[in-house]
Amino acid sequence: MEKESGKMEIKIVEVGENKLKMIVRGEDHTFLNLLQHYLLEDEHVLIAKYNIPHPLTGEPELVVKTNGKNPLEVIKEANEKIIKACNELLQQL
Amino acid sequence: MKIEIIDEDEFNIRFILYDAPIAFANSFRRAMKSLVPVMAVDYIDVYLNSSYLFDEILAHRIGLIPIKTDLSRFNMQNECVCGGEGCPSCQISFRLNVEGPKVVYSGDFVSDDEEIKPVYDNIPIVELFKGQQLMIEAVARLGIGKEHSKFQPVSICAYKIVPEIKIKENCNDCKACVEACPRNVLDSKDSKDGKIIVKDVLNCSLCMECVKVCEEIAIEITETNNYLFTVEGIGQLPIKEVMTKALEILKSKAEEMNKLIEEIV
Repeated sequence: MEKESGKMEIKIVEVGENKLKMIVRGEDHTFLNLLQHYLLEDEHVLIAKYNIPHPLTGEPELVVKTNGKNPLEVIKEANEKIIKACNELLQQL
Repeated sequence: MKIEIIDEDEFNIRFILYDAPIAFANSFRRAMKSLVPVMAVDYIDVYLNSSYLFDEILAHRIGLIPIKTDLSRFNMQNECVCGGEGCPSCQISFRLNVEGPKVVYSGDFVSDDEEIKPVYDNIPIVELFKGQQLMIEAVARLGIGKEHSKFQPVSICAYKIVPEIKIKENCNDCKACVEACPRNVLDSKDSKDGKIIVKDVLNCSLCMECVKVCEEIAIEITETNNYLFTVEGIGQLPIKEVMTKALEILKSKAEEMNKLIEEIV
């Protein structure tokens, strides 16, 4: 097993008008499940799902399908929501 | 979302996370367990070991000793200016030079720095008999729990749903539910007219025994979006710092992903 580098890397495998498949290297359920939840909150998102083909290789795939909106924009908005939620809690600690 | 701390001491904390999605609660728990960096010994040089234990066993035992961590002073080795080779801002060494007969404890390690030392002085490592000697240099660095559990800042870190227990109008105060509850959540002694009341909702484990036993179907238990977290630290970092750090790491992951997407587009 390769040493955890801790750095996130993304590689876009498939891209279309309203769908996207990308590999998020170095991540696992901790971040991707959170991202998936906030992606599904968006009404433009039809499919948002991640798959971890092997637990040790650390190369999960994320698939997003929308009804017309740019999927990269959708992911960015979901990330903004995560940042907002974390900031909200950090203020209280 | 809101955090309310119920009780707190040096090593333990219990808090309720209100109105959070369950995905967030789980990510928060996982981040506390596996992403917050703490110090642990990762490499030892054995100059002399005439004890009854092999070098490898000593290495394993020394690795598991929790070490007080100051995150503001140390970098993760792969992000350090030295490029992972090891320098004073990403690692620290401990020396051990003892001769038997004596039991070697974690407190016998001499640190380069007074503040960075084992959390407990009384963890036994090996018993030396007459004439046996140990000369070890141990090098500690920062790491995350995902890599090895010796880098975990918390031992217990769990959450459960805080339920909402409703006792409806048609309750006939038969007290069968009070007896059925294994965790003493319901009670009737404290109320004036013998009515069943919810005494300790945080203790409820959603076992539904009270619902099963109620003939009038007067108890309704629903899940809420509130989670009771129980976190027990080991002592490398204060628990509040572990929580803050975990949230900061989740936040930085989202920021990093946005940055990477912007670079591609």
